[in-house]
Amino acid sequence: MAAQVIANSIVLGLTLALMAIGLTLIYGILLVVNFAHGEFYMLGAVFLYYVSSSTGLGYWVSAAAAIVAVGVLGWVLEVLVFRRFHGDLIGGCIAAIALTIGIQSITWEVWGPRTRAVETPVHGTIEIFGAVVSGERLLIAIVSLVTILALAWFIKYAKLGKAMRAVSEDSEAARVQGIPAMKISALAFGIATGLAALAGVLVAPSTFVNPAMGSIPLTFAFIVVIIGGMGSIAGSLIASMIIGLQQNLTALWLGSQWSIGVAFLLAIIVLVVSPKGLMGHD
Amino acid sequence: MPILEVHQLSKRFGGVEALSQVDLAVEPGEVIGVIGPNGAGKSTFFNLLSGVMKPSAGKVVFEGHDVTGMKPHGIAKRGLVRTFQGTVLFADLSVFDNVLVACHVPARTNLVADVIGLPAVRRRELEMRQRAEEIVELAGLTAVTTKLARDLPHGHQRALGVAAALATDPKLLCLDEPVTGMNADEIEAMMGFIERIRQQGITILLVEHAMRVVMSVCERIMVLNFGRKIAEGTCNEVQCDAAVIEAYLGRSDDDDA
Amino acid sequence: MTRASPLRWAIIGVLAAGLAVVLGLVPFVGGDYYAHIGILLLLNITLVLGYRLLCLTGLYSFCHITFFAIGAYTSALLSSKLEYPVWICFIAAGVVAAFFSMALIIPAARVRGVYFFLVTFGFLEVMNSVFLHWSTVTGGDAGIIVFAPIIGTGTQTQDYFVILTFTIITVLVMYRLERSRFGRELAPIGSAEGLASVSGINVLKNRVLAFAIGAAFAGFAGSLFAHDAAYISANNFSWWGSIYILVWLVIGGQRKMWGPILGAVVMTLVAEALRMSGILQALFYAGVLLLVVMAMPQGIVGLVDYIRTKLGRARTFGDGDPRPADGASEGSP
Repeated sequence: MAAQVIANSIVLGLTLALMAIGLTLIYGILLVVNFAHGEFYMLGAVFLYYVSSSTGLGYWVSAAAAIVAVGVLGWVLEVLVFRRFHGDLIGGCIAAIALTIGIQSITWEVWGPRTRAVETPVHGTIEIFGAVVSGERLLIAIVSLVTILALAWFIKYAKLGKAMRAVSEDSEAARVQGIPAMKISALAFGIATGLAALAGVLVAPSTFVNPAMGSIPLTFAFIVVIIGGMGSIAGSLIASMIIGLQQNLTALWLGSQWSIGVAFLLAIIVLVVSPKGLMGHD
Repeated sequence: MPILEVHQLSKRFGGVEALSQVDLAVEPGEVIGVIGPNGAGKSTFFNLLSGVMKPSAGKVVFEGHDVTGMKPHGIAKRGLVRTFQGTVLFADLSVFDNVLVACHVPARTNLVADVIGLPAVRRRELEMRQRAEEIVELAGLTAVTTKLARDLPHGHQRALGVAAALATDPKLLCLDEPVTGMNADEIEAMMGFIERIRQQGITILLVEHAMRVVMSVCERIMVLNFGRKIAEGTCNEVQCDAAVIEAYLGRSDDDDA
Repeated sequence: MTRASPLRWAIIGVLAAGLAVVLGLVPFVGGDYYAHIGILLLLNITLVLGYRLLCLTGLYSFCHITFFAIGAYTSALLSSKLEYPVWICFIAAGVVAAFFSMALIIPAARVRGVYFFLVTFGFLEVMNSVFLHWSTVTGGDAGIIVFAPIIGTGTQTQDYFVILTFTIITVLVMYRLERSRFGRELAPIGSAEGLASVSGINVLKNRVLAFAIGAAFAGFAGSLFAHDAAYISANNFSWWGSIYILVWLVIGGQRKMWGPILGAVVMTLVAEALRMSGILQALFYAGVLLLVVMAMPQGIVGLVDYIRTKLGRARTFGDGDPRPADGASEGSP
């Protein structure tokens, strides 16, 4: 039983981490709170459906295409829209909300009122330490973990990654060192939205794909980022695992309808005790 | 009795002693200058006095009351008010409105009475406006009184900052580099303004780089270097003090007006 | 305290009278439907004016709709379950909402900008969870039926006039608040908090007061809503409500009081007018939002300011402008 809870928590936590890390990355580098982040998650799943059903290319290739497409879209939107709102909380918020409304309504038009299903690429279940884990969940966990580790390596060692870190810490100083802060911002936005799309793509086979599916992951991403601290990737990772665990425990002890309420309560408590989250800056 | 007494005031940031064991006594009505090379701790000193920062050690006693570590607005209401460089209260409001807002601060008011609009409230409003007009005139800003604060030339903006501080009815006014960045005419105007403030009996503490201004306006000067007080006295005494000369010659700072 | 000339007051008087006539005729011209829209409009005006108070100090909350909800539920419960007379429920609604707001902001005020926004969002979600799941008290998804009308027999027309009166009072109170010392200290806090503090303005106290007054008015509005609609449920109070309020504020421009009022009126009417078009409504809304926030971040008020400055005319500031001494108005270097 405990093993099952832990297994589920890890899977959930890793999925949340993909969303939250993207959100916190955007905040850390652009000083923008991306209220439209859930839409990129949704678009990942939606694009996956369209690519695989219209070209018959199968899950893996379609997924990759979807992720790239969303990443590019994110990059474009940063240049066209979000660029003006670096550091402007309210303006950025409204712009993101406008984008959310726009993206959702266009998707509703094209998609129609039904939910559609995406073929799952991995079948069967395995048992680990007494916990039953479906193939899909195993896939989610492994891919997420690998991606997160790759991202961590990228930020720590790759030239572009280090540039991103520099901009996040002090964009003025970074600019003085010749780092093109604007290009880095656009890149970061593209990566972050790609991560959201990845989450969407991974979760798609096990859920109902529909244009409104982004709002709950967005809400949870916010909770995680509040607790972990805006701008801190490590904080997001830790907080994701905490919330992953919290969700499962709350569902177990109180009933799942209280999960989100408890999560928010936790976030408020953390903030009041430590006003910048566990590890946040700015 | 001194209006301000500073005892062994100190502030550490991490491993750095920004201010170290500074003592100062200020008599009512004096004009005291605080000078020193860049990084000497002058801003920190003001921040500690006004409550913007809490000291690591030491005491600040204002009019006999220990105000060390009090919240800034509490200290301001007691009569110790400071200006900042470059920040006017409301960039989007007119000169007059900036001063008017500040005039309201020391008033004893009741929110409900305000909202209902009792006759006493209306009378007070008129008195406030009158006072605001007088202060604007004292600051030499009458000609630009309806201009937006952010549209003012630099010299007028600084004067507005001082005028707003004046409007809060201070007993001790701490001016943070009031003439930095000004041309000769603007400096003349500011010096006149400071003199008019002094004539109202308000004690003035002045942080400045411009030696000419400090020497001509201040009665006494305190010199800081590396967070410590290295000299204190009249202009002449300080000018001849060896430690002071070394502090200024030993650094490549400008001290021109 | 009046600075304007008698002529100006005469014009304002005529306009106000005209407006009063128009507003008074609404339910008679358009029947229940118009009265209903009018009620929505009036409540929205109250909401956005209350919201504006804290925003002036530079802190933006995301839970204003929650105080509306708290007011609605308080009034509904006191009325339906305990059968208190409506006027008591009404007052209680505002008081309870204000109480919640203070409980939230006193710990939360030391939390900065973005985090404050997110904390209040969290509060909204927690309360929504409570509204939705504490079924024994709030009726959960099914909600609460409110039998007691606001006044008389509870027709739309009767409700309309009561709410109209309430809104007029709200506007008057807000007008006086702006000119009070408290009101004058709000914008300086938003503009330069450090300087405001060392000038003697108690930043925390002003913010708490602004939040509480705003919440109280939202609570009163919630009570009126509950007794007018005769039925409330958690679905009435989603976070979209908070978004709309923020949108009205930004589109109208927060600097002057008439901005958010205009924003609320225009956007509410536009939303009603486009109700039929589905996707078109959504895209139009999104487009307008994007346009405003990119080109006119100070809202309509900001646009008017800009135009007036370009025309060489003085902006209207508070009623703070002194009589222009001969030639001492705009244009002097």
